[in-house]
Amino acid sequence: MPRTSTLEPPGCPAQLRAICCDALGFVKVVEARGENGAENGPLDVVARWGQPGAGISAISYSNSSNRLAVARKSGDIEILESTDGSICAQLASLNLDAKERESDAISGLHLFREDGPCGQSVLSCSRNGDAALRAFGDEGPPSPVSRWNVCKSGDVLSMRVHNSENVASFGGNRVELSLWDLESSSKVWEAKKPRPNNIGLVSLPYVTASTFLLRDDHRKLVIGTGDYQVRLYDVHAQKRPVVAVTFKESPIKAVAEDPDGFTVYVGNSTGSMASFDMRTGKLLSGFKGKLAGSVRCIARHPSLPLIASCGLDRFLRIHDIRSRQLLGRIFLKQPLVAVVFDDQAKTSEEPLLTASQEQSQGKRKQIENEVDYMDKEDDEDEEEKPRKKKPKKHKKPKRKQAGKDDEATDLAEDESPAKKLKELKKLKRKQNGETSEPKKKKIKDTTSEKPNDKSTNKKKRTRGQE
Amino acid sequence: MGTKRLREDDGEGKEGKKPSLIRNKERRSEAFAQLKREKKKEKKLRIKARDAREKECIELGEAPPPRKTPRTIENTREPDETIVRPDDDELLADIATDEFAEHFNRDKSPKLLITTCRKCSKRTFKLILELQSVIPNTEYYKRNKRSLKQLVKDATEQDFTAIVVIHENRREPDGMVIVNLPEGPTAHFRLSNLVLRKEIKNHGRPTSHLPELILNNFTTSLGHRIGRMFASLFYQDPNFRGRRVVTFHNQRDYIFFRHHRYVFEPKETKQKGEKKKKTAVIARLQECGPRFTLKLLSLQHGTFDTKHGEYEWVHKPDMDTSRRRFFL
Repeated sequence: MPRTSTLEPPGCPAQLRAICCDALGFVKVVEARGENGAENGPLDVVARWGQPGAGISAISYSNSSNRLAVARKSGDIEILESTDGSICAQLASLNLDAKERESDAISGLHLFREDGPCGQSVLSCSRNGDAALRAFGDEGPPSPVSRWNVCKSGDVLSMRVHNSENVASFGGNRVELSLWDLESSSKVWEAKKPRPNNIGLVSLPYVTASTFLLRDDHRKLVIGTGDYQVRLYDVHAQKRPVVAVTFKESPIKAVAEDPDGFTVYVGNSTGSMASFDMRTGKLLSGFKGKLAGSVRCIARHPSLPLIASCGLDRFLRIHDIRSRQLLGRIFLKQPLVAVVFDDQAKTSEEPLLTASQEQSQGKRKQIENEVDYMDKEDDEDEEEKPRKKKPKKHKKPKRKQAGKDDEATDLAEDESPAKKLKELKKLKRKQNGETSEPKKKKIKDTTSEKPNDKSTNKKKRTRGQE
Repeated sequence: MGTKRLREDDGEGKEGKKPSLIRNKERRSEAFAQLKREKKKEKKLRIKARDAREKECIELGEAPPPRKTPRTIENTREPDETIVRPDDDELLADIATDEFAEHFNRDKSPKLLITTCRKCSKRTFKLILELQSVIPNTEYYKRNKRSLKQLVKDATEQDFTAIVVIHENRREPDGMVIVNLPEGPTAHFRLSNLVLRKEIKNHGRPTSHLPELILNNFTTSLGHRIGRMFASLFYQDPNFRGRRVVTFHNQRDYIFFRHHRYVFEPKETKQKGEKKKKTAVIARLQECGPRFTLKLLSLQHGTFDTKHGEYEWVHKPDMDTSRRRFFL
């Protein structure tokens, strides 16, 4: 029988601070207030900046410099101090015609780090594909604009700049996902349309959300499409998506990566949120709890295991990642556009190896190796590889490594019953269709490999045996 | 003797067995009827005692003890932080710039296009005829085989402000889609309990005066938006002399549509214990026009696009986990 009493969500950790922007033009700062020094507390709006009327179309937050860049409907970009909301710089719209400004809103924005390669500058991209890299200074005349066109037709809906600030990805409706080098303003890589399906139809590109999967490697991108798919692209493997998963039946509006390097949080336009493991394409968990409208933006907290989501149902929600529980939510009255976390601890954004990143590096090797498995051209080679690797993997925790290695190399001479048992077990596993995660494989230089090249696959095998 | 002893207490909590434990239907219904009679008697005694106490208090000059209010589902509704407050400046800013602002600023007057799903039956046509008499400035177009997206384009070109599509299932209208143009939200409702004019006893015939609109109980932010959407279908200038009223009454997320003609009349009432007759002016209602119930299924941002559209609110089954939670 349905409940007759209310269940209050448990509070959010007290050091939480999130900045949320809405379609009316307000920037709201939300904090969790623990009552009487309690650890967890409900969310509350602490500050509200901005005037109604100048709706926000995109934002970008720089944790290290405490600045928030906000792009308004009119095409103007404001850079605010995230402590008090004061405007420290303003960039006027590049479109001079008023009519053009209305139809050509900025759909992608990135605020560069002050100590990074680009310095105090902002990269903006409008719907028509007009990308501009502009510097803003505290003093002096405005520096020249670096401007280029990303697409000839279609709408650019998503733009992301990688953590290294050298590469940016662009994608949109009828705009294929592409990577551009920021220094030379040239296209480095472009995705290819997926193969025709069983009827022979090729779906047009419709990138609605994108993110770089790893902080120190710009080669892996995860996108959400308007055709309900979550796709992983590996720039050095192939132009077609490496992993493609269909999620429910509405366009994916938000994609956010987890610092562990393989988890991705996805939100769609009917208010469903889930997390995927992009190594396998498996759905890890769904997030329930008061999601009624389109999820416009998902933000993952840099240090705490939390995600914030906001959308058209005008609520900001905080979920715990591990338990998938709704920790808190707050009604923000306007349809929301984006949310970012303001990490109070101010961890450095440089690629220092933290514990999770070391793990992710180790796992990255696995990802690279597994990515090859995803290519269907490699099917024939899969049989032989697992046989050799499996004994190492499954028996490692029980026995010493030295003895085990000897067993692995003596596979061809299995005469003892124990070894025959092992063989049987291997066959069974192979029948069950298990794919292995080879750990001892050497790190390959995947740049030179081509997917359809069988000769290179043979090379891989020999390397493993050595 | 024949009953099984499954539990320790045989429902002997309240002076005898619970009727629900008696397995024989006749005996059970007798026991239940008796229980009801006893409860009724007890209630009468309670009320008598309460009235007597109140009378005593009034005679003594004290204030009588406050009467208890009955617990209803609306009373015990889950507290909702989205309930709209009239003094909210953000709400006013939102209203000033939303899709219905043009209508409320009197920049645009409503022009409605009514159509149906592709193959529809007589009952739907009748409903449409009646809706045309209720809502002013409507035009009916046959659906034929047009797609709704194409219809939206054509209607925008011809300066319509909204499209209403009546859907049908098993020869009965069962859904309504209201698409606001040019870029307005699309609301999808489930239509039920339809009673046409002829099926209403003592129905009245509506005139062509512009009706007065009553929107009841649209309290939350979503409800407020839906209320504004209904209001944008009607003209802003009601003709009070025409004494015609259209009501959208929201209760527990069900929106009841009623169409009445009213008249103010003095009526003489005789109260108990007083010899004089009191005359009071009351409004007498005569129902005309269709009567139906709507339930919001989804509100989509933008015009009709089920494939690539964004939803502001979608009904999901895990919203129904509490009987005290409502969204409009």
